[in-house]
Amino acid sequence: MDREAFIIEIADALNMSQDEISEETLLNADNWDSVAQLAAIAAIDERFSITIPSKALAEVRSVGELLNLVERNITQQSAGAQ
Amino acid sequence: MKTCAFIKAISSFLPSGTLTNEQLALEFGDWKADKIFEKTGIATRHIASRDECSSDLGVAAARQLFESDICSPAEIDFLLFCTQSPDYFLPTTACLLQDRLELRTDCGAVDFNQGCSGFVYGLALAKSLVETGTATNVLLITAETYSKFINPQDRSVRTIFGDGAAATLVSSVESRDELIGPFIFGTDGRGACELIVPAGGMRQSPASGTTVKIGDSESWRTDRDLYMNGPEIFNFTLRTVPRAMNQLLEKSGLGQEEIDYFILHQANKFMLERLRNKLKISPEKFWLDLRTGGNTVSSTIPIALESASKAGKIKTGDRVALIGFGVGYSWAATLMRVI
Repeated sequence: MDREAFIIEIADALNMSQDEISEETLLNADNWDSVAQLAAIAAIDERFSITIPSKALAEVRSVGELLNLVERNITQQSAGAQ
Repeated sequence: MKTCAFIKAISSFLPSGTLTNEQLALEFGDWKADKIFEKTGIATRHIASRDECSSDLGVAAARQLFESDICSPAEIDFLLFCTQSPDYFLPTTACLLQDRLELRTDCGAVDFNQGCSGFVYGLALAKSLVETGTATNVLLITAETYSKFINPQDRSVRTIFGDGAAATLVSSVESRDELIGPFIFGTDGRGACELIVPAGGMRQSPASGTTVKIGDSESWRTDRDLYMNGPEIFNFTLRTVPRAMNQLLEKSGLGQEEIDYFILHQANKFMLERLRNKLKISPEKFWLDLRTGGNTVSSTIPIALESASKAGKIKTGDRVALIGFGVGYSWAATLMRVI
């Protein structure tokens, strides 16, 4: 997964500019509400054609953790498809 | 030629009370009215008054339909009433509606409890009644007052749902081609907990009435209130709707380009835009209008059909795909011909 490219897409979901966001960016009640999570689900679905369980998505606390979660689900769901 | 069911008329009704984005922005200080519109596509929701029930909205919609002189109450031989907010546990609300609408006493009348898939389910039931010769004119009423289930402090659902009803007349006609169908149905009860009013029925009654915070959000609810896990419902939709569409095309033996118009349950603008994109449907062939009314659950599809017809988006001869999806989880899809 191209983490850099995906961070740029996630920036949109978080209403942040590309310069502001990094893997260290923290996700909290202010920027990681259900609207942001919906936008992230849409971006993840569009790019990777996978869905992430909402509970796991709600629990990530940084952009880096979100990317790790997406990577884990890509691996799991592609293994499940074979 | 054979006896086929078709949609002869639709009449919708929204209660007069309203909830605007400006009102929501005033109540929830950190929200802007234009932002709410941008995300949801909804400008105004219509909200039933305290003493206005789903049945009342349904009666108003049906009376409008009868006033159009397309059909009289005496011609109806079956009433299907779809709601999740009935007047009573018992009797059946459809029985009360038979009396209020002055339908014949030899008219069949039954409630069925479905949400966003309810209209397509109703069409399947009505078609079966008509094409087996059981009934000639079926009145399908979809009516919902989710506002009565919504905690005023739960902004996530208050922004989305509005109350409303639609009366749809399904009648018989001699036709060479099928005018409603085929149908695709889907059910996955594992999703029951994601969109639910937990207390008030037999499983959890009486309600504790305790107010709890929903996740990390600023929304609050009790177990008597509607709970919606928006992100999980979105996941369900992204997984389910494209699959249902493919199954519908496969079952009908049609290519997507042979469908003239697509009407999906009007859940919210964000979700519909994602689905349109995923299904690769052009905006010209896709209904998206929640501006007045919002998500009225089982009535969004008939309201859209009525509006799309008035707006000239669908016309005689068109083949229209209808897909309902949501609470249950439950989903259903069909094709209809405009005649």
